[in-house]
Amino acid sequence: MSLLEAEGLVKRFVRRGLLTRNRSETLAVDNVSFGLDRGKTLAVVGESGAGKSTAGRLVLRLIEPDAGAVRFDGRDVTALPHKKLHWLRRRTQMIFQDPYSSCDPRITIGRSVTEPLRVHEGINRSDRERKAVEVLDRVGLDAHYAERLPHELSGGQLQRVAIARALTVEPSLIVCDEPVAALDVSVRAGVLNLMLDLQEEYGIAYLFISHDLSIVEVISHDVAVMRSGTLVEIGDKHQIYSDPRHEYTRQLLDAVPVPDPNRRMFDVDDPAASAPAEDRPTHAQESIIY
Amino acid sequence: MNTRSAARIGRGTSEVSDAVIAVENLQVSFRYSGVLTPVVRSASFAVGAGETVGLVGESGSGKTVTAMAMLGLIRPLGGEISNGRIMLQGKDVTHLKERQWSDIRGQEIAVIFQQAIRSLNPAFTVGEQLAESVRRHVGLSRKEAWTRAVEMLDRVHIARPAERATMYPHQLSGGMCQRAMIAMALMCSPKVLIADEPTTALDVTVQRHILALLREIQAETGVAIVFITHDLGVIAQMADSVAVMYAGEVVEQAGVRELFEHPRHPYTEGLLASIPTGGERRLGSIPGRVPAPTTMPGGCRFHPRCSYVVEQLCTTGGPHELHPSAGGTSQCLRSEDLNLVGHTVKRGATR
Repeated sequence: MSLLEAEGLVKRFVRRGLLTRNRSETLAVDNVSFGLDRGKTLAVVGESGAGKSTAGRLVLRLIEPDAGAVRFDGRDVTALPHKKLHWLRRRTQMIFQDPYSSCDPRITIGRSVTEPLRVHEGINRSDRERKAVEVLDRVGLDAHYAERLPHELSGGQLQRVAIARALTVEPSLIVCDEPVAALDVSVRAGVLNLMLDLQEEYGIAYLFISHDLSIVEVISHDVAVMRSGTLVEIGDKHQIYSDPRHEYTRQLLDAVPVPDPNRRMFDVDDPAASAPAEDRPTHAQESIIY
Repeated sequence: MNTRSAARIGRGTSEVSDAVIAVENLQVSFRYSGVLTPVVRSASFAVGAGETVGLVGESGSGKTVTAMAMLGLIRPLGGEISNGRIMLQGKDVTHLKERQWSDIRGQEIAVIFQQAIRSLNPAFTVGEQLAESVRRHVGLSRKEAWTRAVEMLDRVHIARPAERATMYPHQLSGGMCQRAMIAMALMCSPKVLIADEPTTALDVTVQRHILALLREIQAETGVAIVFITHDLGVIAQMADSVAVMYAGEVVEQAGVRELFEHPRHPYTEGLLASIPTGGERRLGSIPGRVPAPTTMPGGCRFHPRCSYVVEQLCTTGGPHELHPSAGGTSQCLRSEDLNLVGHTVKRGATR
């Protein structure tokens, strides 16, 4: 049995005009289904506006789906009453893209990191302090960082703090929404390696939301490709990268700049290369012109 | 193209006659609690017509400050160029007055930034903003300038350019805004284009088109491009030669192929190792972080993070300087005896 199963998820966002009676509806996630096994990583890729983040939030019930179901560890999460949601919150955690805004600027790193414990376990202060040092050490930060405030840390260090905080409740699933997109390449590699180590050690499953296909190839086992709210292709990483079935997956893969100066992609003799493929909106929710 | 750029780099910081723009020993300082502190200590590179030089490095390495200096924007930012010079088409532009710069900026040298939508004025239509620079620099009439703007939007492959020219930035997508920015930069046919992370905020499919567009325009107009990015994939695709910056210094310079195959500085090796390549489950990372301008270490500035560090040689004395090293230049004193691993070479048990 999969750790996580999402079935036919649908989420609509409704926008009402401020002064007019206009009402526009966006299908942010349209009938999306996937499964994720314990200790594995499912990457959700796609362009901005594809519905990746919305799917991630639905899974954790941070927002309510309009249709479909999420089963976590065999339990139907979508049917949990609000009072019982702490069951899910203990077993799942989330890491966000911007490390600077995911820590409270006024409280120390140590307190930030152990806040989930205060909420879920109610353990006493000295045990919490011990735990803070322990998880910080696990993500490669010295004990003295527990006394620091977020502004004293770099982006990469703060993202490690976010990971440490997620680890404190020993979750079996972490939803990571573009966790390394804001980091420098050299720092990014360190954070990804840490995530891989933690997965090996604790058997954590990741739902890894990213637009960066070169990173996804490193971290994931399976890949789900989304476009305009729908899942266009899902499968084993090796199959997706070596033999994409869907034309859109192929387009995404072909667009990644190859880090090899001997294989130049942009042939100057090909005038079609620099023109947009079609004149159509890329975003489902907005009538922006591409 | 590659042999040409390699030859130029071989000459290092000496006078380069065929360079459209040359940065020589540039030092840019800002005040930190009243003390004038160099943020860029030594940057030297030159770009010829039709050539692209990539400027890479982590955030805080001085890439953007170098670009701002090339655009004469250091004084407006509250800093000063405290040493070295910038030669634009053989003319020393280092200490020009703001009034003189405003004749050059947009005319001879132009820039595109990462956040195209924030770089455009939300209160004016795209066409008006494009027309402004040719009216200012070339003295075209309002009508002529508008016609030129529409032509230029067409040139960057914006469909229905006449209609789009009448739109406001918020009505366009991110990719479209970046095209409009490129069009604006090209209005006066500049000799130099500075592209500061122009595709970082864009989706990969849009990035592809923008990069192809820059290449196409360069092939047609021969504009010299300084391409700033931390994405080595983009560098591999766009640059003819590369200057690697670290802590305010250019620490290595070489032709792009040479740099990827035979890096001459441990920092470059570290950057190359951090590129995700299919399948490998572990990436190289560089421990530590770029030092702040106020706390620069002595000796080689990279030594606290370097895995090849040798006491005394690397850790003491003043800052190290770039020196020629077969096929490129490097600051690393050990570059000759370290057999650093490039990207295209299969990474083995070298460490």
